[in-house]
Amino acid sequence: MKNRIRVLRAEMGWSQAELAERIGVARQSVNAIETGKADPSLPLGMRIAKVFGKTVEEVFTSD
Amino acid sequence: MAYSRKGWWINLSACFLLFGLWVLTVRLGHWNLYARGISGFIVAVIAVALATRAFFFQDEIQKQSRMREWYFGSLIGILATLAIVVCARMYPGTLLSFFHANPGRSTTPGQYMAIGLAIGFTMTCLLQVVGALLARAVAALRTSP
Repeated sequence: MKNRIRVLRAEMGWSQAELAERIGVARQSVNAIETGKADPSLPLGMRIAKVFGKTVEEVFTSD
Repeated sequence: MAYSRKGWWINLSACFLLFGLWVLTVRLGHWNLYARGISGFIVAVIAVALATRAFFFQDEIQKQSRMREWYFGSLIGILATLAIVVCARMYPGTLLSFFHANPGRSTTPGQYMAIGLAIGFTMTCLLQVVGALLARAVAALRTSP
């Protein structure tokens, strides 16, 4: 699964640690999701989309 | 609340430090069996509490990673044990000669137990590291184009 988290994060001017704080996960987990090493669950995916003010489809796309 | 990698290492270090201090205190203090039992139980409760906290404070991504590490670690552990068992069955004399290399030196049951614990502990640590490396390699392969 691909995602646009890195781009969206840069647009908002947030660091990985800041985003991690907002969605309630560890910074390493944000890094793992960004690089595609781990896939978030639907609730976490929705939380990520919500903090960016986007829909899940706008943040995550299937390969 | 997320559980950081640093927190995990602090927890693990605290467990080992506690255990080390307990072993040292018991060895140096010549405690009786009752005192050893009670203090050992307290140390075990604290270690379990720290481990439980570590588990429940992990986020879902950290749990995914741990599950992968445990999967690969266990898989390698089973294969390694199988290889050792097959070798031991093929050459039964080797195992005996390994433990009785010096017949003049008496080995107490406590020493055998310590050797067994050391082997088990070392194998577990080693296989966890190998498991983590394999999990990373698989994740990297998944992300590579």
